[in-house]
Amino acid sequence: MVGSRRESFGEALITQLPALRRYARALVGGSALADDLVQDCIERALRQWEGLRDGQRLASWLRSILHNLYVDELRRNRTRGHEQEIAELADDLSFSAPAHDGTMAFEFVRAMDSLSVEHRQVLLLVGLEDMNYREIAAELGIPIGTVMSRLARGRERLRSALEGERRRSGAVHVPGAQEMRQ
Amino acid sequence: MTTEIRDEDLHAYIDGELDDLGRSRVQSIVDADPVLRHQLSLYRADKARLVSLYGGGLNEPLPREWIQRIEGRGARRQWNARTTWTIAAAMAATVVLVLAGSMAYRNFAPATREDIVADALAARTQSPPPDTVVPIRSTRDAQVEAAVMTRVLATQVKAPDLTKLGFRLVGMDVYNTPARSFDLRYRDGKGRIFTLYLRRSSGATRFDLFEEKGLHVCVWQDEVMATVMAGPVSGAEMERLAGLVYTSLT
Repeated sequence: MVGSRRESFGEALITQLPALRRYARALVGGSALADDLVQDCIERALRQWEGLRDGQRLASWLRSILHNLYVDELRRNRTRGHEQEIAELADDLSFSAPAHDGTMAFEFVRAMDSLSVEHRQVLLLVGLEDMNYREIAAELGIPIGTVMSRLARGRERLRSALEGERRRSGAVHVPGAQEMRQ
Repeated sequence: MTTEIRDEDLHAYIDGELDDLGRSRVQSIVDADPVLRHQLSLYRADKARLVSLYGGGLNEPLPREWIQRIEGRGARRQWNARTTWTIAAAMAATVVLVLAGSMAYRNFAPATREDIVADALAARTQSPPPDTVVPIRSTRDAQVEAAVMTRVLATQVKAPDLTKLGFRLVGMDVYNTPARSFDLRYRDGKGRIFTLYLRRSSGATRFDLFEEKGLHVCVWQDEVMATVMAGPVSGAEMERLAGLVYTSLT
């Protein structure tokens, strides 16, 4: 009986892995670190799967594990912000993006990486996972108002960081972008 | 930011989280404020960029050791030390990207409207009539037409599969003027028509998302291809459609 449930859980877990890996790459800004985290997440999920009461919440449960592992990793090693990690992901993305715009990918990944984990997390849950505010509030265990304010601050800081990236790379000023805040 | 509208409400508007009353209120404020409208467009472009950059990769093969471990056949993992090769490759990538960054810049901000939007909206209403109308009845039809588009546009193109967002490809119109172009027509279960207009790019990269005549319109152009997407869908739906088109067009 337990073996059968364990097998079902394994199958469900495997179906979640592509989306979990995608989320991890976007969250941590590096594909190698993301894969390490997903692999650790698999280990923890396999140890704790019997604690998951609602199978419908598997994706949310896995993201929570991954997020906790990432925060632990940051505290231990302060790995976030390693240039090679960001460049590696930007490089991967620039190869996969049909716009052939490696520079833009690089700037965007660096700008995302400059945000706090909480801001990146809510931006990705809305933008990448296509979740509504109520679902995000439930997943993160915070009020909807906090989701909204984190999202607003996150997007403002992302925009500001992108403008900074473009100035840093000697790019042309984006018309109107700076004066908006004045 | 204007005092008439909270930042949180503007972002809730972008995400389709407001009720009808709230949406109308924000829409009227945005309509009356070109600065705010521009800012809204920038935020939407950032959101779409996030989807387009990170949204792919779902079909990448998973590492075999993950599957073996889950199926109970693999050993517990050890933390991997990053290999010298990986770090060296990443450092090389950094150099390449920094050099590329110093040599090239592609503006991803909203641009002024060009004729391509008018051409795309005219194609949507088949006015003037297309030079060729191609009904799509099967995947095979779509593949044949993709080969034609690839040849004409001189870049690898395929008709995006939008079925996971509820839209099925039903036909394609071909125009020879003002430039050789294609208008792919999709229909969803509610009978809504979503069109994807394609032609060779005029060069400048641009992204724009706006409403016109009851349609949401998204313009997405890089150095190779120009696309205009239009449909009677919400802004949030258009962003998802645009992201899916962008990641599956080539």
